[in-house]
Amino acid sequence: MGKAVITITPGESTATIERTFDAPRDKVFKAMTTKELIEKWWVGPGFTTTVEEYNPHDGGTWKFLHVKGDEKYHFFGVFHEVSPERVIQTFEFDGLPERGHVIMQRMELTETSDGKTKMRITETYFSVADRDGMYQTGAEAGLNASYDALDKVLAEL
Amino acid sequence: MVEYNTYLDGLFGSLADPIRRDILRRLINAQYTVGQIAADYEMSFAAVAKHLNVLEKAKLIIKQRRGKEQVVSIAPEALKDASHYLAQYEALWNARFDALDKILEEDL
Repeated sequence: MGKAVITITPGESTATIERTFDAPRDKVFKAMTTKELIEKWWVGPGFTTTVEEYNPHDGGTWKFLHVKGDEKYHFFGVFHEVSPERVIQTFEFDGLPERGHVIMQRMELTETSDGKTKMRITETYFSVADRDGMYQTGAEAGLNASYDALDKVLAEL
Repeated sequence: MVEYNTYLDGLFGSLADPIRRDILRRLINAQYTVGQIAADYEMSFAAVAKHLNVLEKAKLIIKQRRGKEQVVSIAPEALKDASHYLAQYEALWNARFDALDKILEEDL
């Protein structure tokens, strides 16, 4: 159902990810917050995902394990607010040489009149460098590069 | 994520300004001299030259001396880098959301 729209404004330490799903909000929320279902969709390039901790309530923790061969990474954080309207959580990645690069994520789900659900994730990083670094990390993960995107960037300039 | 990549930071920072984006857009199809570019904007030659310096530092453009003039052309590699990072991240999220779409087709 369409493509995710990621917006990063140069010089700012935030990023937004938007996507519409062809399902009512409660269903989308359920798919996104059910342990067994997360393992099916929260994928990484060539990695298998295991949900080690998932406590979606205020103050609850979450911890996902990504494994590809000998490579093992954890993604983890704490929930601050959990409802179908809004989920606020922290996000950390243990593949970095040091702690402290925490991201605050706010996800908002809005049901449209035709029964679809608009999702908007706003990520706030401590610095522009942290944010830009995250995009590089994504690149190093070795997903198929789409150099066609160059045309897209150029068209938007 | 930890290593501060000044190159990338400069790249995104230099794309933040509408005049600099406009200059880049022109350079996609053609080369111009600094004088030609400056003539197109309602600002001083020095101000346009400043924008060109920012773009050059970010390795988005290349300036070459040709006789008395400086010819400016785009450096496509730099733009490829910026779009590359974003494209990778988009690919990751698109893969996740496509998988989620499949789950949503089922009765939950």
